[in-house]
Amino acid sequence: MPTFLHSADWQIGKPYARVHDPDKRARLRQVRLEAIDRIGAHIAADPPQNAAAALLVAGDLFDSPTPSASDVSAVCAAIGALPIPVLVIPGNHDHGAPGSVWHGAFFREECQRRAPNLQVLLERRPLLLEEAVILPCPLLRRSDSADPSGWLRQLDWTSLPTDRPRLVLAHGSVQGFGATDLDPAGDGDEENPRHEGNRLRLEGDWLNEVDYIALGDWHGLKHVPPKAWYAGTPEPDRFPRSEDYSAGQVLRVTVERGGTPEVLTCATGALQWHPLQFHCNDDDDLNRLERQLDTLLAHRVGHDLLRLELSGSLSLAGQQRCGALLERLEAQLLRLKQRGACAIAPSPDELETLTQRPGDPLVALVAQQLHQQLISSQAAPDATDPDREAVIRLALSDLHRHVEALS
Amino acid sequence: MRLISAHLRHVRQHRSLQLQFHPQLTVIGGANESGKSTVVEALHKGLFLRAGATGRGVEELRSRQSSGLPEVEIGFEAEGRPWLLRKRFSGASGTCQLSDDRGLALSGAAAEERLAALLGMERLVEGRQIGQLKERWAHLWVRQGESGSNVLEGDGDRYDLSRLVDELQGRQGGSALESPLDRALLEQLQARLDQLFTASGKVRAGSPLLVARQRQADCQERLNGAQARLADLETSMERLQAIDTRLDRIERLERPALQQRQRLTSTLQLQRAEVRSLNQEHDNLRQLLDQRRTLEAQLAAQRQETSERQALLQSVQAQVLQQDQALRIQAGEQRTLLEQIATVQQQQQLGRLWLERQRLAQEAAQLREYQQQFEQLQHQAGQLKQQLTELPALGAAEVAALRQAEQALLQAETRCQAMATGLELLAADQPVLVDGAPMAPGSSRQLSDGVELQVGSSGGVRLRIQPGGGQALAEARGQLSLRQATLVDQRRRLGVDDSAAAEGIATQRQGLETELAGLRRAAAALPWTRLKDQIAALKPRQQRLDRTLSHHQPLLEQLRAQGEEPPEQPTALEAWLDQRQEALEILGGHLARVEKELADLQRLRTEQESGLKAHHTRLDQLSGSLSSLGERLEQLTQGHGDEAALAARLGQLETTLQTRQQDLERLDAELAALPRPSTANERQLEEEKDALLTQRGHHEERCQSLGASDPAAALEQCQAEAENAAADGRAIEHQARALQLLVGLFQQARRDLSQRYSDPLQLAIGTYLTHLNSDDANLDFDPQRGFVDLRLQQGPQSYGFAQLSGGMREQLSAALRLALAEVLQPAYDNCLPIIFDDAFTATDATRLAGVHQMVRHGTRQGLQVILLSCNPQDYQPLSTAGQLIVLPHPER
Repeated sequence: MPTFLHSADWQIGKPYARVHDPDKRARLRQVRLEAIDRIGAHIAADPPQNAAAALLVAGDLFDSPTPSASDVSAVCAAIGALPIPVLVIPGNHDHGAPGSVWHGAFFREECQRRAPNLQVLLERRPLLLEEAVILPCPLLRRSDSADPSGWLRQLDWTSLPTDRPRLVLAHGSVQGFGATDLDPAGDGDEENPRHEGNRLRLEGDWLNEVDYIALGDWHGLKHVPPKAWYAGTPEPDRFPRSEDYSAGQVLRVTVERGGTPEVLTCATGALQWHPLQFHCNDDDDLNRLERQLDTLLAHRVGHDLLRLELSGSLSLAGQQRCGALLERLEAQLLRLKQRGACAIAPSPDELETLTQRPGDPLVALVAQQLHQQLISSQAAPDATDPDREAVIRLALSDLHRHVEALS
Repeated sequence: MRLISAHLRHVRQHRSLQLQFHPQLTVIGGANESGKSTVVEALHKGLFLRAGATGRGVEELRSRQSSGLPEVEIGFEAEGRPWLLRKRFSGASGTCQLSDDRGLALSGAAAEERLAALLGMERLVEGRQIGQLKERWAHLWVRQGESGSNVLEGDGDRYDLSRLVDELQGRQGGSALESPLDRALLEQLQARLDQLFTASGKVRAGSPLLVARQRQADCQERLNGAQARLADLETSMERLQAIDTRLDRIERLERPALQQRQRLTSTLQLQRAEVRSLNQEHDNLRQLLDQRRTLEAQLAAQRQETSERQALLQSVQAQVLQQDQALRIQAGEQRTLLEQIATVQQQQQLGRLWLERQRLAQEAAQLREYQQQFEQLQHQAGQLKQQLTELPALGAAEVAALRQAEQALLQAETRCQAMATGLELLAADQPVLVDGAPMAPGSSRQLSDGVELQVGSSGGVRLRIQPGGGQALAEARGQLSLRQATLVDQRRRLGVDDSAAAEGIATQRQGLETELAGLRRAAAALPWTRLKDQIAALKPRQQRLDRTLSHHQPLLEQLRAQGEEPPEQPTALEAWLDQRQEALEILGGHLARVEKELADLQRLRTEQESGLKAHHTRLDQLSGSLSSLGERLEQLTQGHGDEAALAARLGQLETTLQTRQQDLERLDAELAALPRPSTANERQLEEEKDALLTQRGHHEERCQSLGASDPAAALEQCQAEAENAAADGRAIEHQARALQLLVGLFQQARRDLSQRYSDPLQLAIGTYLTHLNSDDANLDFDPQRGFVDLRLQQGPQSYGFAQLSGGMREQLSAALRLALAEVLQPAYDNCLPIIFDDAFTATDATRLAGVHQMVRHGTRQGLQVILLSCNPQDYQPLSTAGQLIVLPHPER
């Protein structure tokens, strides 16, 4: 039984524009390229009798249809270093329309020069290999309302050899497994929005004619029974939103004609993407937060990415301390993505410091007014001004900071 | 501080002026130019201008009459004791001496420093700062012409603001309006806010807020651009794909299809042309065959018709002969009937003549009878007329008139008798005479007139009997006489004796006249006029008739011979005529029937003749047509063979055509099965391909150009930047709003606190204004600008100071100054002098009383008021409670 490696969604050249530090951005981009090497390491580790016949990349090898020349060269070099054929179809990010990278002279030359083992499948017709029949469903535009696998319904299956497995290589969402079926927010988020279209209709008699469907588009590992698998991206590129979300692997698929494919995962991820939700009831909770972070990050520097969702409230002093903590995390992490915030809630002492100032009548009066407005705003939020409470808290914080500075 | 006295020497027009001030109120009067304002100025400069000052401030004090240097000596109270100030303004060498009653005697700078301290100043005004001099105690020193100004306008030093605030603060229990920290914090906040917003609230150019907003806009613009570039790239790629698809289709499908189509089209055209030719030939043959068949059918039909028509012609001719025989019979019968009718008509004519002759004879006899009757009637009428002529002409009217006269006479007699006295002689043995006429016994008499009754012959007894009635009896008797005369006259005129006779005569006359009328009526019944002429006229008519009858004599003879002569009797003759008429009618009926039958026969005959003619005409036509058709058939046969040959040729041709048509349908099907060409010919396809290739090049360049910078990555970059800018913008917006909130709250707090300062002053002003029957005054306190926005409240309306009338401005200004002085005076030993120099010139007399009360109120509060006026009598009521000083007239 032949074995294949199944991967997808490398998205080489992904800019990580929301990471402000250019060095960190470069690091993140580099790690994605290095994932190819890690795939190569798995291949090299296989015994010769179990060597994979080919690596199938189910779309989105590049992050865009017009990647930079350096990314093209780097990819070709990395792929060229792999000891097996690499079969690639374009996905929605790097679709195969004329004018895209796949048709460019530079890519062809680089491919010829550095990666002769790379074959880009731009046509929807069977590719006969010695070990298998590959049925590619390349995307030729970013969003196609027609089913990319539609051509398989018209295929004369009797024309195909029956002595080897048939593998479909496709990119897109699966009919019946919409975004909400995979995770609450879909596989995308506000930074990686999902594209409509490119729906694969994996139904009908033709499914009986194939043995494995190598899918790309979802960035997490997902089995769509009985024969379809999303390999997920070899290097994680987003914060998981559910427990079963798994990225940073390639699939090792052993399949025969008429048999059930045997699928194993091979870890290839390098960076850690952590989601963390934390609620502060008071300033003491900041200590608890710091302990959790220590556990999570293990004092690693430049190796982790963290999405920190804060809620609750902190005193004016606690806010300053929290700010300092976040500043420190920003430096430690490859990326700190902060969601939410702890509301500013002055402590009774802080309030008294501001409101009980007979020597400073204006400050006292203003602090009293702000406190009163905050209570009113909390009791009856202004629907027309949702920022009202935050502005009052900010004003209180500002007042406190000024008084501290002048006292 | 209270002024006690002043002594001016060599000050303008005052060589030496000594003044003693009342502790509360001093009114200084004096004519114009008497030096009142000089006193005000001298006191002010004495207190506030350095003795060593030079320049305009001092020059203005110089005496006009002497060369002596101006000297001002002021006695005043301060810090609970009297002071004496002496100043001699001699330029830089001016001197100042200050002493109190405790032995303190200062001079020079020390004296002026002490003086400044007593007056609440840091220092006195230098000569070169003379402009500042008027600002000193400007609220207390009301110079001429300045009474209508608002002392609060301008610097707070003008009205001793800092000391005023201290005093007010003291009233608040020592609580300050704001602390240094408050001020510093507010200044910092304000400074930060000023960096963001202008004074008018607009976002300041270059501020972080505007920069953030601009950055957001720029980011959004870049994002739009990046989206557009990516969309542009995608569009170009799509277009490229479409072009490739199209080019592929052209080369792979459309061009071969077009070529195949052209080949098929060409073959089709040739085949169609051949089929058209065969169809033409087929149509011609079909036409010839049809023509031949038509001709043969026509020939047969016409032959049949000729045969039929000839048989019909013979039949009609036989009928015509029969008709002619019948016509002749009917014509003979007609003639016989006409002769019989003529004979009867002649007999009728004879009978009528004969009848007319009979009637003429009857008419003549009748006329003669009439003539005889008429003549007899005429004779009888003559006799009756003679009888009437012999009788009196009496009528019913005359008889009635006579009878009426008789009746009237009888009535008159009855009346006379009624009025007469009755005299009856029953028995007498002696003669009784009445008016001399004896009266027999047993007789009686009616007396209508008085009579003399004599009894006895000797006239022994004579009685006068006078009937009653008097004059009436006489009238009655007159009436009787008149009527008797009338009756006699009537009878005489009528010739009768009485009315009975008259009536008989009248009756006789009436009978005669009736008879005469009967005769006349009988005569009228006769045609008596022209009877003779008529009788004469009958004769010629008879003669003519006879002559006519003589012409019918042969007929008459014939009739007689037949025993049918016309009878003599008219009645019989009429019956004879009726017989002839009946015979005539019978003959007429026969004749009419015969004539109708004859007309019918003639009409039928005419029709038969017309039919015969038509048959002949049609037979002639058929003969010609048969000849022509025969010729044409002969020609066809000679030209194209007979019908069988033509049909055989047509069959062959139809078979060929069917084969060709099947070929055409096959080719059409092949053509339809070819892909539909987008262009009509290969040249257009080539042109489209060239155009597509050009477009392809353009789009490839476009893709290359756009793709060089990886627009997808650029878009993500722009999105991230836009998100950052939006987040930063939100943070800055929040910060700005927080700042605005803070500054707003600070200002509000400051306003609330400052209200505590302005309230006492407002209260004090209000107390003074009550004397003017005015409402309250309002003013605000600004810690930085002092008291501001002085307004007068009148009812619901609030008026700014500048909006008030001149008089009201004077009064409100005075109230304000008095209130200020009242608030300030604790800081000045519970007394302050306030000087009004002609300060109420615009105030009318009615309001002046209110001003007096204001001043009194001020003095009661401890103030020292000095009023200067050229009309000191205006303040007479006030001066009773104080002191009046009248300055002497100015020296000439």
